[in-house]
Amino acid sequence: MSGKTHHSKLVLLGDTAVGKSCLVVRFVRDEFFEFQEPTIGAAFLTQTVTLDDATVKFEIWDTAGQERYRSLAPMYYRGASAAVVVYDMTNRESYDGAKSWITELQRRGDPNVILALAGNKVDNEEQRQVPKEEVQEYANENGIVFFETSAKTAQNVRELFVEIANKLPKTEQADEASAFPVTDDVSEEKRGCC
Amino acid sequence: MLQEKHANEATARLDQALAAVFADAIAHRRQTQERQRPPSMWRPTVPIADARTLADELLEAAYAQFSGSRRELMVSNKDLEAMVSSRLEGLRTDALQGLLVVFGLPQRPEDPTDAFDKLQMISREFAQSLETKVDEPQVRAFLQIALRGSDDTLDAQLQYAHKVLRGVPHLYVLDQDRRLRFRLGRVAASYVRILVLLYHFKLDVMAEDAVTTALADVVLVVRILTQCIITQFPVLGTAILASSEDERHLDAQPGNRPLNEKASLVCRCVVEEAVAAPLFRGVVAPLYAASEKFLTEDRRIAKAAARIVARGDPHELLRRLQASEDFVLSTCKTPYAAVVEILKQVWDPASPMGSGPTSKARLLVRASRTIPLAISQAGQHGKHEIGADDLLPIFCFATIWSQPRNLASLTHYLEHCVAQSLLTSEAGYALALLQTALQTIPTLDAESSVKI
Repeated sequence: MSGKTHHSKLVLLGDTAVGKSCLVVRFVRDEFFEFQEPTIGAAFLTQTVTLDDATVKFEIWDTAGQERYRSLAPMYYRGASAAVVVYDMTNRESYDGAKSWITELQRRGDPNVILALAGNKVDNEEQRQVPKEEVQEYANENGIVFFETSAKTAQNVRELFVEIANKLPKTEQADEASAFPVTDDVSEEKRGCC
Repeated sequence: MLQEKHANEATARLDQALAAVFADAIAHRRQTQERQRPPSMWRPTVPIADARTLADELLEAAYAQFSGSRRELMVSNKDLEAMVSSRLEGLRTDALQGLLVVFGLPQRPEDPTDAFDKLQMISREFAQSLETKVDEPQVRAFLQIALRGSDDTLDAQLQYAHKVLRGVPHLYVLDQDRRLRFRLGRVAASYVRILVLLYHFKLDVMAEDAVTTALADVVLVVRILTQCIITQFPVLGTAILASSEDERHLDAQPGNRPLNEKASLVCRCVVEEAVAAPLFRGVVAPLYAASEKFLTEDRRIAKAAARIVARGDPHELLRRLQASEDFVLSTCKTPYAAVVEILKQVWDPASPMGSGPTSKARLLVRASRTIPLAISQAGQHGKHEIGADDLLPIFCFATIWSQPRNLASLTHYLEHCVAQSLLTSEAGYALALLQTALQTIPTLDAESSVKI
């Protein structure tokens, strides 16, 4: 593994009550439960995925699913390098909503964004309304990462984010802070420093 | 006697130099105002026809101020330092600020050599008064930053800044003494105040996208200084970090963020508050106030928010914003009062906290983090995690209830002044919440009007 950490903004989209925040809380808690602040909420969370050749730090932005806030979604997905569109596989309507999110992202978003579909609540198989094969075909046609997930049992949650991390381009960080290290290049200047 | 003579000479040169810069600015304004129609966003505080008279009055006032100070001049270097400092400060807050707001100032003086030489003298006197040994090339480099600014590449500016700041040799041997560290911070801050002061002359409020351009200049100054501190002044950087409260709450989860990034944010915050806050307060607010576009938009949003608040009770408003019934907090008379109080600090330009953009972003983060806390304290535990479905309506509610008077300009200010590296962090998310509120308020107001 290289020591480099790649920061990646990931946005969560989908209708209300499909389990967006549950999904991300499951992903984050599995790894860093002991560092979680219980009062932080789940609208913005970060989580690190360690790959063979790199470390990816996801900065995860949740969006509101209510219709009132739908037109404001571009403020949230602007600059994202990955988008996870979540639907509830026990709710056909939420899948239709997810497809409209995908269409919007393809039309208005950055073409390099990694798109993923998450069919949540797979633990509730008996109430399934959206066949997996249908979504898989749609995902294949559109080049989208697809997993059926369960925030409840953690099924495929980590796999989803690892797959996205693998697909992300590992570009060099060029942000303001990393361009100006604090301690690395000043040793010659230090005299008797503590 | 010799010292007195030198002091008098220095004061005279200071007068001449600053007057020359003012004169250049006014001459430039006179040349351009006849042919330059005010752009739509420009809302002069006085009619353009009266501007020339006002310019003369301001210049005379500046001269009178210089003359008065000269008569009161004391002879020691310490006194000279205090005198120069107070006069520059007085200029900044009075005549200079008036000029800034009323006139577009030139990108650079018409005759930079003259002003340059004279300003160089000021800087040298000032440096001597601080008992530092700053040699000629270093002072020149310092002034090049101030006078040439953005005409140079960032790298070149940094090189100049490094030369100047490296020219203060005792900065490097003070790292074991806390008192001296404090003094170190003062010395650096003094330099930057001059830098910032001179940089004012570059602001041009008449340009087409003047606000954005001027903000970019201000941010550049802060950024250069922060970078200088971080890269070249480990002692000062350490002192700042040691004297600051832990800023890790800017991160959702500390731990993984590299130290230099955290240090960068802390330094930036401290530099903003210690040095640039007066600039933000003194220059940014008038810039927005001079913009017809932002003035109108701010008033429109403020009126809309006031109408919404006047129409109904807070719980009903939360429902209209599609907050979950669990989080309407029906048992609380004023739900989310703590969040509302924090947001009031964000809007308040005179608030001692949050004058700089990073600090304001920090306050926004604190406001958004207070929402889950408020829910817990109200005894609502129906849902464990507070996602965006819940957070957005509540944040919009708190924004409306806090009656923002400058929401549009503040949002623009933060969009342009918060460090790029912060925009994907939690501070960036909080800014998106602010943008959401900005967009939602007029819509909500319009819906209410239709219903009525």
